[in-house]
Formats: sequence, structure tokens, C-alpha cells
Amino acid sequence: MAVIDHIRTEKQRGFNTDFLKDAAGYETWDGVKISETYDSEQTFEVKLEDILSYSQGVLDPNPIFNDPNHPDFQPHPLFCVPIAFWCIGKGHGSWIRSPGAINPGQKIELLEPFRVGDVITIKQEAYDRWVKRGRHYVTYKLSYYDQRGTLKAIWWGTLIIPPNRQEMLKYARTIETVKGGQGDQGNL
Amino acid sequence: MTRVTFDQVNLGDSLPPLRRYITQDIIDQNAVASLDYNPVHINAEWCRAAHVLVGSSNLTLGGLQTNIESNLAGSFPLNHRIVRQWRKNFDIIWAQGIALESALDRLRQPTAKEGGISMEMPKQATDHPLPVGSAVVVHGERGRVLATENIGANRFRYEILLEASGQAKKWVTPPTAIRLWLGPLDVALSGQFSSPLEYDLRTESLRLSLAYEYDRMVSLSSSRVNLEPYQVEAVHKVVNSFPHRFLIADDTGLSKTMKRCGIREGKGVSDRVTMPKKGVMLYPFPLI
Repeated sequence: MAVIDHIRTEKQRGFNTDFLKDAAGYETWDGVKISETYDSEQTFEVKLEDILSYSQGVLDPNPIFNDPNHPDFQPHPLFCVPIAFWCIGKGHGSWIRSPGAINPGQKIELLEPFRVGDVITIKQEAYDRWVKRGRHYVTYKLSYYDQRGTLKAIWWGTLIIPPNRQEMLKYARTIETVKGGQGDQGNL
Repeated sequence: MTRVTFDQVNLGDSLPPLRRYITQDIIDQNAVASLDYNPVHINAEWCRAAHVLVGSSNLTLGGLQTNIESNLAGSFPLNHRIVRQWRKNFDIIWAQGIALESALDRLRQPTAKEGGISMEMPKQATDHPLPVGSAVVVHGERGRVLATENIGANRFRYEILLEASGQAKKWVTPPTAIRLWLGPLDVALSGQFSSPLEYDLRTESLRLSLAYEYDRMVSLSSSRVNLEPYQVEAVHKVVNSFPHRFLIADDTGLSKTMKRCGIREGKGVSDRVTMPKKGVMLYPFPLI
């Protein structure tokens, strides 16, 4: 099956699956301004299909995450991940889509479960960036609020990303090479 | 599932191994659910071309991996038919001592068809002609077969694109030795084992290289100062906590500066820690 064959929900159908498309405009490590705060570009309205799709996608059969009739029904704890990808667009925080990004470990605090009908907004704070052994780390603090202003979760999202636009574009061009049918040479 | 009570557990008891196999299809499904279409997850070909990772393969998503690990801890149904079929097929390959890419690809792609996976035993690494596109080793260099020609008398002419130079060259075998490049699993299956000591050293070096990459506390071992336990405790707390805004206060001579150095060492060169307003502040205790 191809990737797009797994698309089920309305949001998944409306989401750009090509992370290369806007790679030239993604925020890069050297462009991150520490302590700056930004509001997310979009809001995420939590729907039942979103919750079920994520639980199935992460292969968690626990009825708490899959059975809407369960008294403790709630989204999977990592449901904040698709919310972030949905809300963060092409501007600040877009480095989370960087081709070549590596996940060095995450920290998430869940304060209250997301509920069907919640409209989630994310406040981003450029929290930290550092270089270690030649790798460029960046951390954004993502605070999730519902429509009533309740803080639902905090995700200190950290990735190792390309240090500058030139490196970002190098990865992007690699994708173009693969797409152009020259992948065999690339494999070497 | 059999439930075990407290009094039935004895020290030294071990559980049967739990296994769960990851396929690209599973990764793709999780990528869609997470809206994370980074090619580092969904495009193995790109990963190899971009050399993002040592080992040149793509990665599962962190959330998926975390969840699978927790599910395994909660017991995975080991009697699942597909899992049984996988193990059977692997045993077949192991028994015959032959494994090439085609067989491995099949291992990585389990199917739910009735009867499980059909296996085709691959050719030996030195059987010629090697297929076009094969990864090969010639004169100690890795390359890929672009073309092959039978020139008679059981001899073959190969055109090979060399990995290091990017140039295509031609060789005739014999006399030139051309063999398939074998991955780590192929080498193991063909019985080419190193000595136990060498194995231990390699795995330890790999573990340390990963720890230095991702574990901030390991950097303390390379510090030129021998930290006391109470100093390590403070460094550990600051480095592994969010936010990193700490006030260290103690009497003169109780190593506030050493802790500060340890934090900097463990954190790497950080904008946040090195910022005077939002980093670590050091004060002699009487000044507080």
C-alpha cells in the first residue's frame, strides 16, 4: 500500500503530504530567535475520527483510546503530535517538517485530556537551541489551549535539524533526485 | 493470557521473548495518523540517498516506537498466525545458511495471505552473473552493477559504478574477484563471525557513540574535573529538566562553578544556558 492509501479522515485528506514542497521556506536552526513567541497558524477541532485514526495508526488497541463508549474514552497521549503538525504551518516552527530531521527525544506534559469538540490553539515559544558534537538541536515549547483558554498540554519539542537553509536545500534536492528516477545512483 | 500473581513470581524468572515486526506499511499508517510525512520515515530510498542515518535506512516515528514498546510490555499475542509464519520462514533461511537481499526483503514484508510467505532461495554471493543493480565489492570498494555480459569460457564482463569515486569501470571475472556486498545480517547468516572480544568491543563502541550523541550526562565522564556525587546530582537535575532556569546557591567553596561547568558540558553549547538572563545563576548562599 502507498502512504496515501492510509488516509481516512477529513483532516488527513486536506493535509499537504509533500514536505518537500515548501522546504525552501521552512524555518532553519540559524533563523530561530530564542524567547520569541508565536500563535499557531491554524486551530485544530478535535473530531472522533481524528482520535480513532491516531489510536489505530499508533497500533494501540487499548479500549480507552478506541471505544467511544468507554467511560474513560480519551485520545492517545501522543495525540498532540498530529495537532502540532496540523496547526504549525509554513512559518515559525515549520522546522518540524525539515527533511533530514532526527528525533533526539521529547518531553510532553499532559494536563487534561483533549475532548471531542475542543478547538485547540498552540502557542509556540522558541525555547532553546544548541550544538552538540556537530549536530544542531532546537527546542520549541508548544502550549496547547482549548477554546476556553484551558492549558491542556505542553510539549517541549526537540529535533536535530539542518543548521541553515543551504543544508536544508541539500536534503530537498536529494528528494528531487530520488523522485527523478536516479535513486540507484543515490543509493551508492 | 495467563495472569501471574505476586506469590508466583520468583527472583530470576524470565519471560518468553516478545516480538513485533515493523513493516513500511505500519510506518506509513502511523505517518498519516500523525500528519508527519517527513521522508526520514516514509521514504527509505531517500534516506539512503541523503545519508541521513548511519545504516542508511528510514526510521519509525518516535510515537509509534514508544507505543509498540509499551504494548510489548503489556504482552503481545505470541500465537498470532503471521508471527508464527515469520519465525518459520526465518528458521528455513537460517538452516540453509543463505540470505541475500531478496530473501531479506521478503522477511521485511509479511503478508496476510493464506499459507504465509513463499520464499525463493537466493543465489550464492559468488554465483555469476550477478544481477544488474546488485551491490557488489570489487578490489575492496563498494559499487553497483550497471551492466553484465557473458564473454564465454565461464567469464563475465561487468560494468560497475563505484560508490566512492562515482565513476563507472569495467572488469572481467575471473580473474577479478567480484562478489555481492553482504549486509550485517547476511554476514552473520553465512557464518562469518568475529571473535567474542571483537564483538563486545564493537557493540560497546556503538553504544557509547549513541550515548554521547543523545545522553547529555555521558559528557560528564569526559570532564577534566572529578565531580562529587552531590555535584553530579545538581547537574543531572538541571540538564534533564525543562525549563533550564535554575538558581544555584551555596556557601563559598562548595563548587557552584563546577556545577555550572558540568551543566554547560552536559548541555552542549546552548543559547539558553549561555544567556545570562535566562540561564543558571550562581550566588554565594549568604547573599540570598
